[in-house]
Amino acid sequence: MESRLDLGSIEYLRLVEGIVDYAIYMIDPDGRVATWNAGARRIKGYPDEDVIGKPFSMFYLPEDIEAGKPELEMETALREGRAEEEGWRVRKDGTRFWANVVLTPLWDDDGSLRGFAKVTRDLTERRAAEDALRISEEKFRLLVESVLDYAIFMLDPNGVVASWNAGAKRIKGYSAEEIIGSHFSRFYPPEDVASRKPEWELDVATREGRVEDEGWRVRKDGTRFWANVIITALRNEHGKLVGFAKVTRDLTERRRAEQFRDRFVANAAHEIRTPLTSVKGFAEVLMHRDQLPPGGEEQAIEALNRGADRLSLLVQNLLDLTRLEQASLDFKPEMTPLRTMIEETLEAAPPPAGHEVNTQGDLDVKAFVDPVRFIQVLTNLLSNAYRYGGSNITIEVIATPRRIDLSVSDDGSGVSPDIRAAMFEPFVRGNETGSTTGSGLGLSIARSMIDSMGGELTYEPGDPTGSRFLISLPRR
Amino acid sequence: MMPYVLVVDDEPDSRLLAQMILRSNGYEVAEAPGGEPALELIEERMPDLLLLDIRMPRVDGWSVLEQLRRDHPTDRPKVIVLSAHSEGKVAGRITKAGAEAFLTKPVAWDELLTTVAEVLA
Repeated sequence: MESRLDLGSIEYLRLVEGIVDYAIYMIDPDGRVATWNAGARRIKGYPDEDVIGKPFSMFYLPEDIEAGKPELEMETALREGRAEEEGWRVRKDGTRFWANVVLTPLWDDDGSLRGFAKVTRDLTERRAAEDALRISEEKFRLLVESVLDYAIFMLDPNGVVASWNAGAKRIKGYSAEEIIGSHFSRFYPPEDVASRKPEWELDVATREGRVEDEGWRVRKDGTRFWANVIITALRNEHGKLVGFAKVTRDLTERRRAEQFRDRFVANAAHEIRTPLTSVKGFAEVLMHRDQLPPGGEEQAIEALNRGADRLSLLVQNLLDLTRLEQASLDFKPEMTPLRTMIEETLEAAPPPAGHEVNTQGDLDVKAFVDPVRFIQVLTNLLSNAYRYGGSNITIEVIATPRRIDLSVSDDGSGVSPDIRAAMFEPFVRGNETGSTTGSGLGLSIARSMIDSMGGELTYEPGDPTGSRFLISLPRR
Repeated sequence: MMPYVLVVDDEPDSRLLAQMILRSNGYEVAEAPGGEPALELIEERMPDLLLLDIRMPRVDGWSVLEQLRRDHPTDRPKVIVLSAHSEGKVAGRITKAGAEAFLTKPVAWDELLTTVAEVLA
């Protein structure tokens, strides 16, 4: 009696009764609810009178009842002394909650079953948080995996590749299967491997948490790319190093663009300086006009004018090129006969003495181009031919159902092989001395303009000698 | 007899400018549009002074200086180097290359005449 009173004492019952965070109740050997506490009322929503004497299976999902889960739990508890489970349960209002349930059999002194103690915790919030975390981790993993612009991957503490994303595949060329398990030093040039740079970077990341580097890296096919690399040490909650996150960007294009821009600015400055120097020099000469021989003053004024003209041509060309690059140059294409445009070009830029221009082929065909821009391109090709080419120049049009090819060829010495590769780049000129009167931008502009009109401008050596510039346009 | 000056520059107006200043002051002037024609003219008649542009296509000013030192170790003309750049790098290099003076473009009237007179003195 005394021992029973211990468990059944008023104080103890009140204690259990008053607990609100746990549903604590007893079930008789048949599975009927025998007691009910504050926590049970709160979590399950039933008042005492609705549950006392009812089978505890009423808290289970219909499919669990059908599967005999309540009975199974009782059997397990009887067999093992305890049954613990996490699963969905149903409240009075029909809503579900995620429950942790512990079922313990209670035995009488004589060994007969008195019933079960059941302790239920509502873990819905914790489960929701876990779900949210799991979903967010999954989303994050998918996000990282699908990033194309950055190689994002993990290394184990020894530098062995442990994960691989789409960007890594795109930038470095390896598939995940090929590279996972390899040491990340494979991405470094041999000289960096020899100087143990990969290991050094991991050391710094381990020590300082993070290391950033810009330098050459090697793709699967052996080509190099200019990379920005950030390696971050990953540590678990105990501070133990579990690996590294590596983010690599391919900056090759950006580096190339920067180098191009730097070169362009330097070249443009030089080009501007030449006529500016001339203008300044002749202005100075005119200040000494009383000392000039007869005709000297006129010569100086003409030279001043040439300098100013050249400056304005240069500025105009620089503006054209910039607008072409920004695609903000206005094109007004219309169906225009090539003959008209060729004639207008020859009128504006007639052949100098000793040069002759022949036109031949399908001159009456019409092209869908901006005539003003097209004439600008033709003028450039012709004046190049006058300046650098032979004395016989041929403009030929060949029309096919799909394309219109217009070529400007001459019988000179052709473009020297050393500048052929770069001849369409800004400020690259032919090597003829005394011929640096243009802006050095003509062919760059010409090519961009033909591009913008949907065509192509290419060069090939003439047959048997000379040069041949070919404008190939789609036919409408 | 006035000194004979050879102006070497690929820019026609640069040559014209130097030529006008020098002729106005009585110098005899010839022009060459590049390193190669300059070396040919030198072989025909040795100038007293070379007004030499550095940046020229093909045979540049440095190459002209180098060839002069090789071909004319004792009787080479005096040289004033012209450059669009005023960097000390160029200024330091010209003495080593065997030039007497260095001027930055555009050449100013008085500065050119003073330098030419000094170099020829």
